Amino acid sequence: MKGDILKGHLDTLLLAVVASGPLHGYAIIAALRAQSAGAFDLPEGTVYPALHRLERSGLLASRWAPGSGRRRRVYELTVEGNRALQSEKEVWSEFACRVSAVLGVLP
Amino acid sequence: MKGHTTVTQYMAEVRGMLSVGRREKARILIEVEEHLRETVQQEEMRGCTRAEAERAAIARFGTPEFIARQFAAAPSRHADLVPRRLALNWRMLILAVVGCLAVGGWWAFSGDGGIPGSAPRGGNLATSHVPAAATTAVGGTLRDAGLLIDVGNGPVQVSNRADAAVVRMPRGAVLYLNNFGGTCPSPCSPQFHLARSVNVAGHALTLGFIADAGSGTLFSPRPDGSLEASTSAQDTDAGTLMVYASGADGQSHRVAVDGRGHLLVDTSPLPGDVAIDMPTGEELDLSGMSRLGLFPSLQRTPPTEFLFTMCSESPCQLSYRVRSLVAPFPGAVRCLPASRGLELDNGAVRLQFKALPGYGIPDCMAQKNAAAGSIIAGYFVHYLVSATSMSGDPLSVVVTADGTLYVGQVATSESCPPCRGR
Repeated sequence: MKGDILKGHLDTLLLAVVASGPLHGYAIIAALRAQSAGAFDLPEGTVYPALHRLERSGLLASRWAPGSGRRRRVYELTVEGNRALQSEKEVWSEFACRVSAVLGVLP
Repeated sequence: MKGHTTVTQYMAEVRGMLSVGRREKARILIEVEEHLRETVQQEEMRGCTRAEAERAAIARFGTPEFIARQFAAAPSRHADLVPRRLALNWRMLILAVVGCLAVGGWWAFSGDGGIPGSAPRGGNLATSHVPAAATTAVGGTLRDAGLLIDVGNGPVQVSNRADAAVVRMPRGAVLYLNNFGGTCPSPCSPQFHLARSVNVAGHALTLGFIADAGSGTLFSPRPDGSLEASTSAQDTDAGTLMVYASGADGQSHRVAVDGRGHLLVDTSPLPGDVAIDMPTGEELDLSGMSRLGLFPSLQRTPPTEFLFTMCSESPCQLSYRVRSLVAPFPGAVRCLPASRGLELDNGAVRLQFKALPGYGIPDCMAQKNAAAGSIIAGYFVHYLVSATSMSGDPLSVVVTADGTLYVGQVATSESCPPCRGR
């Protein structure tokens, strides 16, 4: 899938992945790829700036976690992040429904 | 993109191109490098050579110019926008992965055993006795392995557990990890894990040090070869250091930190039949459990593999990171959907090895009769291991220091949930 299509939705997708529990960057990217059956295969370097941006916005929190010799920054959803994710889900459902209706395809 | 053939070359270029603040830059460089190293490791597991794996990892990440542009568009982090997380949440740390080591299990940050006094090198630490908490928890044949920590402006808090020592450091704390052969490049990373082979009173041991310094803390080399934990003005603590020890055969050894800041190591190994709940440090009561099998010894130097028990959630589960999964008992192997792991059952108990996010078993091979000790998955995977009866009732699964596997019901106590020492 083209990266441009994802551009406006990356933040929401990242919030959704992290909603499953605290994850480090590598695991977030792996989960995003797995949950989209390989369709969302982004340049991996785009994800970390997005995570930093979401943290700066207060939607994610992060900390260093010891891990078998690796220095991992683990991200988790904040209360505000969870609220934003729920809101985005509603907006997306409505949007997908309307677009599908216009295109004449099943949502 | 220029011809970056190694991660080291690539990182050097990223370092030169990033135009963000010092702390932000340090954090970005760590995250990017660790991501690339993890990718390289996974690619090598798939059969790539190191050179191929490094090229693939770099290609997937993007050019240094691209990375620098992306971060330049994401302004520096402002601490006041983000909740401080100075109090560590151990359960999160453990589940996040990868947990740490495991030498049989560990940690609760109870903060008991505060050490008052003054420092031997001009600071304010210096009681010469071993605190009661240390002698009670450790016992055995303790040997002084040398000075571990010195403080300049505040008390050090120590929690000496059965399987490890946890030291909470104040601002300005100085670590003498170099006494144990550890080194830290300049600038040191905010968090690091060192494992070093040492000789303590004629016993060859591996000492492990994990520092989780909290957000923004840096460890910097000092002229005398020690490391200073420096923090930002907002931080009240420099962080937490966890210390563990294991013998040449992989057996765990008890450690403690005394009132002078010296590290004490038990030259006798932890009894093989001891099982410890890692999040709390409690020894588990196995009287209601049955022996089911045996896991092989782990490769712990360099720190790569671990196996420990977690009873934070009932029933108890195992966190198991291993290169080759070996059947701990004979049974039938079934594959979980979507390469997410496998199950092993012996007709009475079903053990599920579920791969954590980021790991998987691409070509799981179901077997009717896997022998005990046979390899049932040849991939480097971090598993969460749980057990049920064949009718689906959840069971606790626990592993002892010598790798013996038990299933059943762990005795619990309301006064010390979820598990009680015996």
